[in-house]
Amino acid sequence: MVKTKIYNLIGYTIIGFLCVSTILPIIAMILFIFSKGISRINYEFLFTVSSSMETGGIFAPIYGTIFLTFITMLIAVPIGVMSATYMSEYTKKGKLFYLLELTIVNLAGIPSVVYGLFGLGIFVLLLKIGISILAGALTMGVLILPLIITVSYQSLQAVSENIREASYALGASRLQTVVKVILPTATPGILTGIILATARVAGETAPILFTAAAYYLPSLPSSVFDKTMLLSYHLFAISTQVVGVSDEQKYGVTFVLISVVLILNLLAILIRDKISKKLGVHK
Amino acid sequence: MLKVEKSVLELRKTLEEMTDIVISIVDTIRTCIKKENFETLEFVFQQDRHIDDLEKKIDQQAVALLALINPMASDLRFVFSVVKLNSDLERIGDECKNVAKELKTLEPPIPEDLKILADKVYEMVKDAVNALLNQNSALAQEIILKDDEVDKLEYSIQKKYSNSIGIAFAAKALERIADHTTNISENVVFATEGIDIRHENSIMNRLGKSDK
Amino acid sequence: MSINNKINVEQIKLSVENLDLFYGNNHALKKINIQIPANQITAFIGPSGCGKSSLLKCLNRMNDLISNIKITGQITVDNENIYDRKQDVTQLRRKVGMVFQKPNPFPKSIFDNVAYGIRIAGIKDKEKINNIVENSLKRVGLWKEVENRLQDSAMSLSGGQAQRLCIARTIATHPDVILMDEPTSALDPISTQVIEELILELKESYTVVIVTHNMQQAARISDITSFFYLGELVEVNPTNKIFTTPENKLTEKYITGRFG
Repeated sequence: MVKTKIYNLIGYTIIGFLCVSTILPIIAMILFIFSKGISRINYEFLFTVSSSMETGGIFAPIYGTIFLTFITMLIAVPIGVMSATYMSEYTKKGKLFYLLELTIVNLAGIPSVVYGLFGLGIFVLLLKIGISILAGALTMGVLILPLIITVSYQSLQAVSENIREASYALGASRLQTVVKVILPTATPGILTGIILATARVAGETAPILFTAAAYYLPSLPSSVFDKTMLLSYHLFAISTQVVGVSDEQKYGVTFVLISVVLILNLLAILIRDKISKKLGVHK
Repeated sequence: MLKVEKSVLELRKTLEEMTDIVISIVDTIRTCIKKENFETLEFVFQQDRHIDDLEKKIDQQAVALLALINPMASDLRFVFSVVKLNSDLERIGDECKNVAKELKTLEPPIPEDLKILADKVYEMVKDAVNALLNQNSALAQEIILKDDEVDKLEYSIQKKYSNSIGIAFAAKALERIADHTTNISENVVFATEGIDIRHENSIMNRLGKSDK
Repeated sequence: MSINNKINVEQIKLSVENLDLFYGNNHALKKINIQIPANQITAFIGPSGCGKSSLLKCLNRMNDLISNIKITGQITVDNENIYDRKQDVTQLRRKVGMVFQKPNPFPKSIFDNVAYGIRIAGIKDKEKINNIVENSLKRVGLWKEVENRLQDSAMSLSGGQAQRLCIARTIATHPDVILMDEPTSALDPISTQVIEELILELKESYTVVIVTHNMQQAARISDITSFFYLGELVEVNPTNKIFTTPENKLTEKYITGRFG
């Protein structure tokens, strides 16, 4: 008995230690950036468009990041969810299905800089959209499609077969079943995919490098056909390309970038929980 | 209402049909003896067929109930007791026929003792049916006690009228009816309290056991 | 207990003629012929894999969802062949509703669950929907328990309540026939009893066909019992007859628990 207890204790200690070691770096990083950057945060820093790269407000990149993320989602979510729905509800598990699956897995494995070059080649040059938020959003959309499809597909598959049967037994057609029962039931899971994708879009640098990002703009973009400043690229620029930027400024930007990602995540989590609660599904 | 309640109620209804007839024929016997008028005796023979049919019907219902509904506890004891006392009821009908047959051979006057016996037996049957339909254990126990009186009375009639076979046989048959009411009563006690009081040596012993 | 040893064939609601069913090479149902009278409870019993559930699912064409299935023969509901090409399956399923083994409410509100069938059938009148929902919930004895929380998720209901909700959801579409696939096998004894009493009440307005693993359940509630074994219909008789004097030796063996 005593031996078992000791083993248990050792086991728990190891697991606890490993747990802490995964959480610790994240907390440390956030705290570190927070402590270094917080002093730079003020209204002027967040909400004014700066006339210089080195100091001044970063509203332009913040606005650009949110704008681009929003447009990306607008493009990628419907396509992704519909693809997942097709795969989950309509196609039989035949050759086409496995080809689709293979494609998606491969897409997910491509380095993000390749997406950037692809976006430049296809959207910017071939389709002549030019370097713009639209081109960037399309590129980002392609990048996150595999993520959205995979997660959505899994949450659609997780919808119990019983519920499908119930719907059909009540005289529902396939479309009615998909739209009124299966998609709503899978919504929390699909939202999880969207959360992950959102964070990815806000933070990615390489794909927008050639497709949407502007080094410096004195004004906000007015439409999707404009270039824009973006937080991730801005941070990259002031850290490596511009001389004489204070550390405080860099950490301030970093802090904002992380905050934007975290706030977007939090928002999505809140929405998901609210829907889950309404559906009565606990995730 | 639960399915088991409905089914038990249906069984009760058939049982009541049966007891109604049994009481009416015992009553006929009693009245004939009392009034020394045997004209209505035919009624006893007419009802025989009816009683036989009802006996079968009760058994069928009880078997179906046991097979399909699986009654439990008090429901189970009720159904089980009905199966058993069903044959007692039918036998009361048969004994009534026997009394009627003997009466037909007799000429008035009828001895006073036999009239008293018939009265007592009728009361017992009525009480037994009452105890059965109301599931009244106390009443059922009283009937069991009364059986001794009937036995004694019948014994004295046998002695007094040993020369008249008709009277002796009628008395014997009436006594048997009383025995059947005792059986019915025992089953009522079982159905209501779950205690088996058969085959105990003395009456007090029997009832002592049923004292909770 | 009404003693009934003959099937009353006055009004046949459902009729299965020479039905064969194959899952791939597996001959799951063999030359099934059975007639199901209206406003009675017909029970399908038999050991696992005997085909009773498969037959049930043929009756509202839920088997259509399974690939690799082949069905020959004929099933008629009110003298119309349901496997006819012109048959609209969604219409059929409204007419022949189904309640499943596990309570399967949608993750929607209690109200929306019951309203689902009529809404997809195209009824938009709010008052009408309200009425149907209320009446259906009353019919299954759930109204008092949920009337103050119709907008709560149906997932908050207990197993027995959820199953009654599923029955309410089915009767909301005004079916003629209700198929039940082991409707109480996932429930506790008390909920089972409540559902059984409900089924007995339902037979006044609906024709009920129930598949059950629980022989006692078939005995308690059904009017007619059919015994299936290895894809064949062994015996159909009034429940009382099946459980007291079955005609077939196999039925006798199964019912007395001397199987295999």
